[in-house]
Amino acid sequence: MKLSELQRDALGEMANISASRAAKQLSALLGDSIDITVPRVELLPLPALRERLSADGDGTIACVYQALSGVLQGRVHLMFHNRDSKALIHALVGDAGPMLADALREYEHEAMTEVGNIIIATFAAMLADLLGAELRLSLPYYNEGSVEELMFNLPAAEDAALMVVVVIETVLRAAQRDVSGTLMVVLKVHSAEELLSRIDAMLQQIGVEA
Amino acid sequence: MNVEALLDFRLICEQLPIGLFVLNRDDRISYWNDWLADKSGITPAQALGRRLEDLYPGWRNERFQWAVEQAIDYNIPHVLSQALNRLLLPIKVPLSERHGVALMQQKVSVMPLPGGDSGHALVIIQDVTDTVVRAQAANDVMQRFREVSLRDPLTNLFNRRFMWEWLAQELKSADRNNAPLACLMLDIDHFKPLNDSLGHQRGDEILQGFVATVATQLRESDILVRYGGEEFAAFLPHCTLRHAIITAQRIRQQVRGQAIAGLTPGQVTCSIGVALYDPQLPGTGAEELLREADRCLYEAKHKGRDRVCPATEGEACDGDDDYN
Repeated sequence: MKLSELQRDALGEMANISASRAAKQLSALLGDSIDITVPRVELLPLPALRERLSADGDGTIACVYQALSGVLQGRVHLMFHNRDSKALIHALVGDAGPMLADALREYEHEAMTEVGNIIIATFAAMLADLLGAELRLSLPYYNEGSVEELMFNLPAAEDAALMVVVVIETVLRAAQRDVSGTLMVVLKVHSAEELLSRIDAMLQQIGVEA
Repeated sequence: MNVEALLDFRLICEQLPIGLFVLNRDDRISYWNDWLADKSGITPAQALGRRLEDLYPGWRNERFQWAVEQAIDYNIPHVLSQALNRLLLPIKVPLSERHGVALMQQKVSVMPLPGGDSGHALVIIQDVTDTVVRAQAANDVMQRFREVSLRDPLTNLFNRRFMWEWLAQELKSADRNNAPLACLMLDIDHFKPLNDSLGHQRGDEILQGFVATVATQLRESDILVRYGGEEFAAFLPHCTLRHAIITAQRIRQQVRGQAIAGLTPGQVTCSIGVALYDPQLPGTGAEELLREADRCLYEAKHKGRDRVCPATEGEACDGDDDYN
């Protein structure tokens, strides 16, 4: 399964719209101007992601995770390199003041969970609008670990060979600082097919032949 | 007996140690559990059918409003963290031992009521005040510990550890503003014989009395540090060498004129070395500044004590009242 040029453009455009909505919410919450852009979107089989990410270097990843059910089945991850997530929280909420390491960690995780939740939620709402059908999300969870642990160890019942992932690269700009993150929508193949056929239908509706 | 039949979920909700309430599409409350009633003082009868802004006049929270819309319109749950939101509802907590936390700190989840398109949002409030208070208490302790670790317990002056941190910042600021910074190195003359003959208790009183006398001659922006046993360093930002020498002379005269620790005036005297950090002269730093002030102090001692020695050639040491 591959994205056509038009599908990629359409998904990228939708991701950018939802990113700007998320940025608006974050700006209001944090009383600061925050900008989120999506420079690139692609679709890969889940096993290919493993090679891609392991080639991308190691390091601990901070991840906010929400499970998807209903019309789309799978999960959504928002990932940042751990040092980037700390930089992000610092840029968003400023210096939290002196704190013991444990309290600071908890504070950072909580803040990251909510930030991730807002970005994932706006994207999911846009997908729900596109699909015109019921989409359900679990509550968000925060996790840290290697890409392998976070992406491939999760739901036991999932067959990686039958999953694809929509990789949405994001750049979050706060306080003159750019932080790169990746939104990964891991979908069962039939859910991805459903999503792409809805995108084609939408393109047809607005007069663009896929 | 069928256990299912015994499970009355509403009853369970009433007894859970968390806050639960349900909002409909018009933001009106259609459920309000006992825990919330207990903590907020608002009974279910008072809450049902009302909006949150009716219960708490002036209440408004756009983040929460959006979360409720998303839960109802899209079945999307949201977490409102304590870290970013502090709290949802202004619920007072008892004030004792609260480290300044007066309102219940809350972690809030907003989710669609199960059952699809129900048009209702379930709001769950977890009281995380204890965690926040604990973190606050730990921070207070850490702050106090840091404060203590930077001060000398006898004189309550800053110690050397603080001095190095402060000086690193202050020299940068001196560079930025192109403003010189003066350092006075002070030492109580013949302290050891005084301490030995009068006893440590009186020795401590002399140190305290000396510090109190020196402090009267310094500005708010100057700092005084206990550098060693009877040795002290004063730092005077935005100060020329000329002014630093005048200040040092005033200190020397004040110390000699005071009945410190009940002794006759003149029994306690001090020697002072004066050096200057000049941003226009490259190649000097904190260590060089202190070394130079120390060298001048040594010179003052060598020339007979109870005198001020500045770091510039041509400025002779003087022990008498030339600088009046």
